[in-house]
Amino acid sequence: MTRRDLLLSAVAAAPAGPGFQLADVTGPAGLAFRHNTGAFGAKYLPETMGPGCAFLDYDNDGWLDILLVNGQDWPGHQRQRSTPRLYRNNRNGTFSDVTKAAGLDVEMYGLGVAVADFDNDGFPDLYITCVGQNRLFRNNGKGAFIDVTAAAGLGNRQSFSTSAMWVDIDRDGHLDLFVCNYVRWAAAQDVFCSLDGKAKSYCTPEAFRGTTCWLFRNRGNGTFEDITARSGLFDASSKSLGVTMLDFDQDGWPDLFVANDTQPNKLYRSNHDGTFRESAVRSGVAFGDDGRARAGMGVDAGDFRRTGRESIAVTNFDNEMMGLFEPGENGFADRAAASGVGAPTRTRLGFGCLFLDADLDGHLDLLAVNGHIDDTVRNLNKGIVHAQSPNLFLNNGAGQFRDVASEAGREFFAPKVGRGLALGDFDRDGDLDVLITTNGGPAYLFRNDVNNGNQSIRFRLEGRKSNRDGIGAVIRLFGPGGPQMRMIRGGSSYLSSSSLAATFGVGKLTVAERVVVYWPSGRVDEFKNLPTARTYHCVEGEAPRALPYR
Amino acid sequence: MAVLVHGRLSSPTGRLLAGVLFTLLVIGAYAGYTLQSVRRMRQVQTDIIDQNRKASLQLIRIQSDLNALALAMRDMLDNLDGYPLSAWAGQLDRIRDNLDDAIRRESELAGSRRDPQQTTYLLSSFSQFWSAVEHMNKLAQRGEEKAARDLVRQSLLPRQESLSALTARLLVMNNESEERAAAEIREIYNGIENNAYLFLVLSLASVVGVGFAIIRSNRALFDRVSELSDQRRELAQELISTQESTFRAVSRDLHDEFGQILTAVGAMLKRAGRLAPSDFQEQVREANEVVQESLEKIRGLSQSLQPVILDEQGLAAAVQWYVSVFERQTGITIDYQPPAVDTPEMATSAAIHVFRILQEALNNIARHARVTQARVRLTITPETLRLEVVDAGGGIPLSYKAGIGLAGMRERAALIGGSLEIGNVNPNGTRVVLTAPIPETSGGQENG
Repeated sequence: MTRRDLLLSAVAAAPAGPGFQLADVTGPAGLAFRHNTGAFGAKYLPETMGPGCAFLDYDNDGWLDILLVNGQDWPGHQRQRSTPRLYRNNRNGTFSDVTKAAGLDVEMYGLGVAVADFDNDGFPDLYITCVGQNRLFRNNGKGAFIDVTAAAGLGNRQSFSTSAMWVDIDRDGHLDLFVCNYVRWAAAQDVFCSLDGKAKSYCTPEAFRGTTCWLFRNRGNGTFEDITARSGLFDASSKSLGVTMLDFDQDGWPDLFVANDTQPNKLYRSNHDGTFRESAVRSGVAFGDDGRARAGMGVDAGDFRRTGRESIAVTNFDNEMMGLFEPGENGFADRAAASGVGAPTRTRLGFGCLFLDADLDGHLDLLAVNGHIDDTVRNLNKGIVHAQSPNLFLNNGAGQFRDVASEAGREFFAPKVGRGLALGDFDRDGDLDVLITTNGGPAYLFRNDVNNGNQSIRFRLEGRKSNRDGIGAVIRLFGPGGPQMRMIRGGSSYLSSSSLAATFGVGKLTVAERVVVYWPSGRVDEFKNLPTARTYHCVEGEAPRALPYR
Repeated sequence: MAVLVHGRLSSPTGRLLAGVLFTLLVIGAYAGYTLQSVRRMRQVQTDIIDQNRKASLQLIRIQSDLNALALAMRDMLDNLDGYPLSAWAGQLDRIRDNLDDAIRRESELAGSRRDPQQTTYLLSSFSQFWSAVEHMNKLAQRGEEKAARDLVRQSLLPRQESLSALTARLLVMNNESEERAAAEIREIYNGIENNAYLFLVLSLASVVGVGFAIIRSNRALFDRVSELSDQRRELAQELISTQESTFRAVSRDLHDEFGQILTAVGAMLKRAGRLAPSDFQEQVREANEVVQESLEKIRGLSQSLQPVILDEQGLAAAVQWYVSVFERQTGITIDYQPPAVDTPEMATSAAIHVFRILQEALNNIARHARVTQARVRLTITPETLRLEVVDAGGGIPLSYKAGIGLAGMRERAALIGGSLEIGNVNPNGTRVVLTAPIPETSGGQENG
C-alpha cells in the first residue's frame, strides 16, 4: 500500500461530521402521508398545532411501527377524507399502511397521541387527543384497535386536547392518563385576530380562556375516573401543550411537569397519595429568566450531566429561546444560554423536543423540531420564517451543547414546519431513529446511521406488579464516566410518543458492568456484566433475556 | 572693571509647591464633593427609586394575581368545565400563596414610606376577601353550589374589584414617589454639573498661575545666568589684556634692556679679545659666544612674548614666522597654507589673539597629538578671517575635560567677535577652526 493509499483510506475511515448521519428514508420507507390541517381560510387556531406521531410495536413482533395523527376538514368545508395513518414495519426498511385493517380509518380532528398498554394485556393501546372528543383505542392483540372511549368512561368530553401521557401516578400497576388541554376554543366562538389590521391571522392563546388539564385514574377494569379536581391538578388558567414526568424530588413517586403557552409552567409534586402539590414558581421552572411566562410547547426530561438528576427542556416561541432547567440545591435554574442551547433557539419556534444519545457516546444530546405557526411571519418579522430547521444539540460530555443539525444530514437540516417528534429504532441497528411530523406537510423518517463505532445497550421492560410497560421505572447504568439514567416515559415531546425501550449509548464499551432497574412497584433488580450491543428484555423480578439487535 | 554684585536669587520651589498644593486642594475638594453627591444619589436611587420599582413590580404581581382571581371566579360562575366549585380550591390556594408572598414583599419594600393606615387597610381588605373565599369553599364542599356561586357573585367579585382599585392607587402613588425621586436626582446632577464648571475654572486658574510663576522664575534664572556669563567674560578679557600687556612689557624689557646690555657686553668682549694675550683670547671668544647665545635666547623669548613681527609685518608674516619656529623647536613638520597676497590686515590688538590661538593650538599638538606632521591654513577675506589647525593625532578623547588653554582660546575668539570650533576629524585627528570678522576699520597696523 502506498502512502497515498494509506492517507486516502484513513480519510475514508474517519467518521464524517458529528459521528452519525440522519438519512431521510421517508420515501423508500413508504410513508406517503400529508397532514390535513383542514385550513380553508378561516385560520382556526387548531390548524397550526398538529400533528403528533408515535413509534409503537402494535403487533408485538419486535419491530417498531409508526402512527401518524391527522386532522380533518372542518364541518361545512369537507373536501377530502383524512384519518390517522398506521404503518406496519415490514422488517426490511419499508412500511405498509395498515390503517384500515387496524381499525384506525376513523375521521377525527386528531392532534396528539399517547401509546401504552393501559390494560396490561401485552399490546400497546392508543389515546389520541383531538379538537372535540379524544379517543381511546384498545389494541385487541390481533392487529386491530377498538374505540373504547365511551366504555372507558372517557366520552362526552369536548375539548382542545394536545399532548397526553400515560403515567402510574398511584403506583398501583395500572397506567393513569394525563391529558393536556389548551384553550377554550370552538369554531363557532372563534375570534378575529390580525397582524396587519386587515387580514385575519392565527390567534395567539391570549385571545382565549385557558382550561384545565385532566387526570384520569385507571381503575384497572378498563374504565377511568376523572380525578382532576381531587388530585389537585385542576387549574382552569392553564393553556397546556406539553407534559413529561420525572422524579425531581427523588422520592420514587412520579412528578409531573406541564408546559403552558403564555401561562406559567406547572410542576406537580406527588404527595404519594394520588394528589399533587404545585411548586413550579418555588422550584424556578414556572417562568423564564425575565420573570415572564413563556410560550411552552414541547417538553422532555433527561440526565444529560450524568448526575443522577434530570433536567427539563422546554421549547418556546421565537425570541424566547428554549428553556433548559437544571436541578440545583434550591430548585431549578434555566441554564439554556450558558449551556449553548439558548442562542441557536432564539429565532426558532420550537415544538417537539427529546433527549437522546444520538452519537451513542454515553452523553444525552437534545433534539428539537421547529416551525412557526404563521405562514406570513416572514413578511412581518425579519429573521423569523415559517419553515425552520431543527436543532440537534450534541453534548460535549461537560454539559455544553453544540448545534450539529447542519452536519447531521441535508434533508434533516432542511427547514420544516416541524411539530411532532418521536424516537425509536425502527431498523434495529442499536441507535435511535427520528420521526418528525410537519404542520400541513409530510412526515419524515430519518434513519440514524452511527459511523463512529459507538455501541449501545437497550432495555425493554415488562412489569409484573408494576404496570406492564414499566412506565415510571428508572434504569441506572453504572460504568466509566459516571452513571447514566433513563426513566421510562409514556409521553413527553409534543403530541408524540416514543418507543418505550431505554437506549443507552456506551461508546466502545463491550460490557455494562452494572445495571439497576428501579420498578414503580418499589422492586429493584440489579444485573451485572451485561454484554452491550443487545436488547435486554427485563421482566420484573426475573433475569434479563438478551436479544440481538437484528 | 565694574562688576555687578547681585543679591542671592530666591528659589521658586516654594511658590511652585504652593501652586501644586492649591491645584491638589481644588481637585480634592471637587472629588470630595462629587463623591458626596454620588453617594447621595445612590442613596436616593437605592432607597427610593429601586425600592419603589421593586415595590411596583410586586404591586403588578398582585394585580396580575387579582386578575387571575377574577378569571377563576368568572370560570366558576360560568362552570363550563362541569366541575364542582370545590375543584377550584387548589387553584385559588395557589393564587393566594402567590398573593401572600407578593403582599409580604411589597410591604417590606414600601416600609416606612407608606402611611401605616394604608398598609393596614390593604392587609385587612385581603384578609376579609380570603375569609369570604374560605366560606365559599366550605359551602362548595358541603355541596351548596348555588349559595357558593351567589357568594362569588355578590361578595367575592366586588371585593376583588375593590382590591384591584386599591392596588392601582398604590401603583400610582409609587409612580409619583418615583417621579419626585427622579427630580431630586436631576437636581443633584445639576449641582454636579455646575461644580464641574467651577472646578474647570479653578483648575485653569491654578494651572495658569503655576505656569506664569514657572515662566517668571525661568526668565529670572536665565537673566542671572547671562549676567554671570557676561561678568565671567569681562573678567577673562581683563585677564587676557593684562596678560598681553605684561607680555609686552616683559618682552620690551628683555629686548631693550637685557638686549642692549648683552650687545654691549659682546662688543666689549670683542674688543677685549683683540687686546687680550693670545693664550687668553680663546677664553674671551668662548665668553663672547655665550653672550651671543644668551642674546639670541632673550630675543627669541621676547619675540614669543610679544612678536614684534606681528606689529611690523602683520599677522600672515607672524604666523609664517611662528610656524617655522615651531617646526624648528618641535621637529613637527607643518604644512602651512598662507593667505593670498594682498589680503587685508587685522589690527594688531585683534591679531595678537589669533596668534595666541595658533600658538595654543600648535602647542597642544606638540603636547598631545604625538604626530610628526600638522596643517595650518590661514584664510583672510575682506570680511572674515579663518584659521584652521589640523593634526592627524588621536583626537580629543570623550572623557576630555576642557582646560584653561581651551577656555583661553575661546575667550580670545570671543574677544575678537569670532567663534572657535574644536572637534575630531575622520578618521582621526583634531581640527581647530577659528572664524572671526575683520572690522571695517582694520587694515592698518598698530604698534604696541
